[in-house]
This record gives sequence, C-alpha cells and structure tokens, in this order.
Amino acid sequence: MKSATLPNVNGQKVRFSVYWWVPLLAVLAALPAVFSLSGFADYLNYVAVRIMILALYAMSFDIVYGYAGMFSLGHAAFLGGGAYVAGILTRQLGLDIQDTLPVLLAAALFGVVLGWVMGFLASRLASPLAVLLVTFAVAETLGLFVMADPLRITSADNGIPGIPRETLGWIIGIETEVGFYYVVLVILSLSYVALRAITRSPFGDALLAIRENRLRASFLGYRVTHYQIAAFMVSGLFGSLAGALTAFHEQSCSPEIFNFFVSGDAFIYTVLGGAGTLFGPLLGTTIMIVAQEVIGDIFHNWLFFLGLIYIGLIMFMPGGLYPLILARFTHDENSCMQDTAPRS
Amino acid sequence: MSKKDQKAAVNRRTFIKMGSGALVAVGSNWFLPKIVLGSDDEIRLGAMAALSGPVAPFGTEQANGIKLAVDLYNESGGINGRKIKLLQEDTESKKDVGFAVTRRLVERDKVHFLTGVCLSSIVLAIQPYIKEKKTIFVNSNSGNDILVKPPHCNRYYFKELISAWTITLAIQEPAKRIGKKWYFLADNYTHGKEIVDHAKRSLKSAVPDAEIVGEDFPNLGESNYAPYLTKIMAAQPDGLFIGVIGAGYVRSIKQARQMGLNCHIHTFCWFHDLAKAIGDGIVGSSTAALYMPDNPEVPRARKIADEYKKRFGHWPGTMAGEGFNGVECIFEAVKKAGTTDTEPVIETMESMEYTNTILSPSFRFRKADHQAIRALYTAEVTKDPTFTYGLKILRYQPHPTEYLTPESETGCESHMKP
Repeated sequence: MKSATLPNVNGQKVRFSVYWWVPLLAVLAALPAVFSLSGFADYLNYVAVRIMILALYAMSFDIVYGYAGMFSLGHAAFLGGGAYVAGILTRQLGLDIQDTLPVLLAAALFGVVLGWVMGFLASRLASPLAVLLVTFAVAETLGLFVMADPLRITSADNGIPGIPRETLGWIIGIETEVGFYYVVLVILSLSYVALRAITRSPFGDALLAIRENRLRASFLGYRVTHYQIAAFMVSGLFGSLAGALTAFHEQSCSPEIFNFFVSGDAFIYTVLGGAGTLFGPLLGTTIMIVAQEVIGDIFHNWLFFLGLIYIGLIMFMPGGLYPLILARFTHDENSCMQDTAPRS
Repeated sequence: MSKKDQKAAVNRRTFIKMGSGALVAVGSNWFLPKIVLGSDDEIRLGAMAALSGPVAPFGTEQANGIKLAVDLYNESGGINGRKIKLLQEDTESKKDVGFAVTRRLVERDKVHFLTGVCLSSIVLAIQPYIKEKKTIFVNSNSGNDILVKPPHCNRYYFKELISAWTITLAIQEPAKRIGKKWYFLADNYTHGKEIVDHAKRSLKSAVPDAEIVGEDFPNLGESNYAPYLTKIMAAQPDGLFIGVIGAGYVRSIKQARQMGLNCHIHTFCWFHDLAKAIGDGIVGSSTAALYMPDNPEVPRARKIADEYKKRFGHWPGTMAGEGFNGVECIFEAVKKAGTTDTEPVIETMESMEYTNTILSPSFRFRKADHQAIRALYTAEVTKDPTFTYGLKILRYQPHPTEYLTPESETGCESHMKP
C-alpha cells in the first residue's frame, strides 16, 4: 500500500496511507448535497467555506511555526494584506476587474513580497521573543496604515464593503455559495498538495533541521537566514491567498483583520491540531469553528470554553490532536496505518 | 503496552462511537433551526451585539436594553397576541463574526427582524446581505452617516442613531456662552475626523468669529494624552471639544483635569458609565445627550430606567437606551401594521410618527434614506444624588435637521425600492 511519512511535532515519523484522502475528499465533495437537505444550506456552505479558508491560513502559519520553528505574532498581516489587495483592486482603484483570478494571483504575490519583508526582519533575530515582537509590529503597522488611510484607498475604519464575486478564470461561476465552496475546496486541496511537496522536499528537511538546532544547521552549511526568509515567503503566499478568499467570501474587508487576535487564532488552530503536520491545522480549524458554532449557540460566553479547551490542550496534548489520533489509530492492528514512531 | 493498557486505550471504533455520540448530542440542538425548537407563533427577533472584544462595554449595554424591551413586551402580552423570541448573538466586535452570526440568524433561525450592532464596519458588511434577504434591520448604535448614503442606504436598513452631523450642533450653546477660542481633539479615524469637521461648521455657524486654535487626532485608544494636552494648554483655548470614544474618553478628560487644564470641555456625546470612571473632573462640562434616564421631556424614561436598574443592577447608559428604542421602533410598527410581513412593516415605519419614546418625545425615520429624526439635548454635567452624575438641559431641539442632506437630494431613491 502506498504510504507517506509525516513528521510530527516531536520530530517523530508517522506513516499513513495516502488512500485516506480519497474518502475524505469524497465526503467534502458531497457535503453541499448533504447540506441541501437542511433548510439553511447556504449558511452551512458558508460555514464550511469559512473553515476551509481559515484552515489554509493556519496551514500557512504552520510552515513558519511548525516547520521553520519561528513564532510569529503577525500572521494576520498576510491574511489582512490579501483581503485588502482584493478590496482595493476590485473596489477602490476604479479598475474594472470582475474576475477573481487576477486578484487572487495579485494577493499571492503581495504575500510573497510581504513574506520577504517579514522574513528578512525575523531571520536576523536569534531570540524568539524578538521575532514575536517584530512580526507583531509588522501586522500592527499595516493595520495602522489601513486605519490612517493616507493614500485614500483603504476607507479607514469603515473597511471596504461590496467586493464583487462573480467568476474565477472568467468561466467558473462562483456567485453562489455552492460554486464558491467547490472552488475553495479545490484551492485548499491544491495548496495542501503543494505545501506537502514543499515540506517533504530537501527544503522542508532543511527547515526542520533549522527548527531543531539553528546553530548546528548553520555548521552543516545551510544558509539559515535564506531558508527562514523563504519559509516566510511560502507562508505569505498561502496566507495572503486565504486573505483574498476571505474578502471574496464575506464580500468585504475591515481593519480588525490585522488584529493580533487574528494572528493568535492561527496559532490556536495550529497547536490544537498539531504543529508541523499540515493536516493538524486543518483539523484544529475545523474543531474550533464548529465549536464556535455549536458551543456559541448554547452559551453566549463560549470564549470561556475556548480558554478551558486551550488550557487542557497545553496540559494534556502539547503535541496537538492529530499526532495523538494517529498514534491511537496505529495501535489498532486492523488499521491500514502504521506507526513507525519510536515508543517511549 | 500491557493488556490492561490496551483495554483502557481508546481504539478507533470506540473513538468513532464516542465522537459520533457526542456530536449528535451537542450538534442536534445546533443543527436544528431555532424555528423547529420554538413555536411558530412567536415573532423572532435577532439581535447582534458586541458581548466580547474591544467594544464589549457598549455592546453589553445595548444587549441589555434590547432584552429589557423584549421582556417588557412579552410581560404585557406580546405583540398582537404573539410573544417575541429574542435570539441574541455576539459579534465579538469583529466584522467577520458579525457577518457570520447575522447569516445564522437569517438563514437558520429565520428571524423576522434584526437589530443591534455598534461598529459601522460590521453594518457595512451586513447591509448588502439584508437587502438581498429582504430582512428589516434597525441599527441601534452606529452614528456614521455613510450608512445612509449611496450605495449603502437600502430599503431594509434603518439608522436609529442620530446623524453624526446633527450631534455636533450641541457645541453651539456652550460656544455662545464661554468664548471664541476652541481646540479640537478626536480619535484618528473616520468618525473622529468627521465629527471634528462637523463641529467646526456648527461652531462657525453659531459664532462666526470663533477662532480654531488647534486640532489633534491621537490614535484610537491612546493611553497617554499628555503631549496633546501640553499643546492644548499652550494654545490657551476657551473651550476644548473632545471627540474621543471608549477608554480614550475617560483618559483624555481625566488627564486634562489632572494636568490642570481649566478651560471648558465639551464632549461630543454623553456616556454615563464612562463619566463615573472620570470622576468629578467631568462636572461642569457640556455634552450632546441622546438618552437621559430622567429626561423631563419624556417622563416614561425614568420608569424604564428604574426597571433596567432592578433587572441589571445599574443605571442604563446611552447604549442601553438606544438598544431599547431600536426594539420599540420595530414592534410599535408591527403593532400598527398588524403583521410581521416585511413590506407593510417598512411602509409603516416610513410613515409613522413614534411618540413618547424613551429617547425623544417624538421620533421618525425619513422615507428617503431611513435616517432617524429625533430630539437632541445639549446638556451640562452636574453632580446627582441618584445617578452620581446627571444632566441639566441647556438646549432642547425637538427635530434638528441642520446639515442633513435634503430628502430630495439623498441619492438613495434607486436603493430604496423593494
């Protein structure tokens, strides 16, 4: 059976069948049909798309945090930057851009450039606290720029409403929630495959080496700062892509997207699912958004429960849920997954 | 792993069984729309308020006001014999969450009406959506005038708060009394800059030879106003206009008095709970009051304020009054229209004169853009044995419409069609 290796947060290797993706994708593809049985299919599609976009955002954070081992508290800069690229290009410059494809590409490009800036600053700092502060400052600066609106293109605190969402590539209609759902599903899947390829490449191995011991990696001949900058650029590309998708999803953007709580969300989704796994952020995001919907519907102060979940997570599952589930499942002899991780 | 450990470990089947059970148990309540869980006969009101996040103090007050209004309606038998079911959601002071919960209320819970929301950015995101879904939304706490201008104005959106332009008329009364030299201090964002522009215009129209000796726009939520206050003190103004909101409202006034700034202070709006945080430094200042719990023009307001105090343990502030009135705007129209159908209710709201509201002896929405036309009180802050800080009315304007775009020139005509 085909299998792939997946590094978990402890640097252990876990192997699982790639065929698991087939039923998972089939389930995701069938979800809109299941939702259509309810009386509020559009809303359920909306929530599902929200999960997928935020999962892409969390996965982009995982590249910097889980793989490169740098804790960024400014990841919202990518999400917000991508959203504002979409808002400004479609609404503020008087350009007649009706299609989302050039906007998504522009947002991705913006993310790469911003990633270079953030990576350039962060890679020159040895202290994790300094990295945290610098990345936080980049996001805050962008947020303040948007609020001050010196170029008269961001609409300050009002944000940019009415972002059009009609087609992708001038052919695929994405006006409906279902149409947009499938487009986001495809983008998420392709992004996952691309990120997986990147993390399994020699480049990914070098990032892991830097994460484990920056000094030793440099002694081995790796140009650590270059790798770290590249990690931020890859992360920025996918983070800003998620940002542009957010703007199209909600058809608006506003300055609080640069808030450090939004950066914190990426961290929570990633750590809950399992940092350094790519699939973990996807799982963590799904759990958090569904919990927000379900618990928030029963208790108004659902954030209290979020706090409890987070404390429980740090205390009992520091590696995250996904590695834990993988480890559990691989104890089952009938499972098609095999755990090759060393046992304690 | 020992046999005992293996038994204790959660295997895949147990995990799936437990997970499915938990999901069904918890999710069933969520998956079913509230319409199934409640009675069909109820009128469902969706309320979006910031119960957490930076504007949570405002949002919580607003939510309390909304709840009190609904409770009082239900205690008096409901609307045309139907009870109101309040479905309250937390926007977390975030646009994306505000938009998501609005969609949940409309699509899943099938609410008849929407109310609430403080932040203009959330309202701007919601406006096209409620237009598409043809759901009435009475926005009870956003003052930004852009909301009733094209392309944002629409048939289903009603702006219950007074115009940001109108509110600045309150500077005229103190300006006539205290002197000509004025300094302006407001938050560095759209609303802050807008109200300073409007206030300067109001000032010049009341006192044509008034002199503007300076203006500053500190960042929203600034913690240290000392550098600005030093500049203000050097300019020696007769009056200082403060257009700062939230925590900055408290800090700027408190620090001004601590640094010995003796000039007259005029605040753009009255916030009772924040005034208590400032202390006696606020006494003697002037302000624009939108809601007063002991409003002599509306004796009913005190009765409602007492009821609020009894249920929530503190006196209602401006946001509570606005939230309460937003609910009344909807349900007095429903009562009069005799139906919850959207079109008849909109037509009633556009044509009806609300009387004896807790904010204003009379109140109406302009048909052209759904901007509320209501009373403005210019007041002086006094010490009060009941409310700690009270208001003495200096000027009462029943329906000020200065600076509002004439109804025939709003440009909203095409947006207001069904």
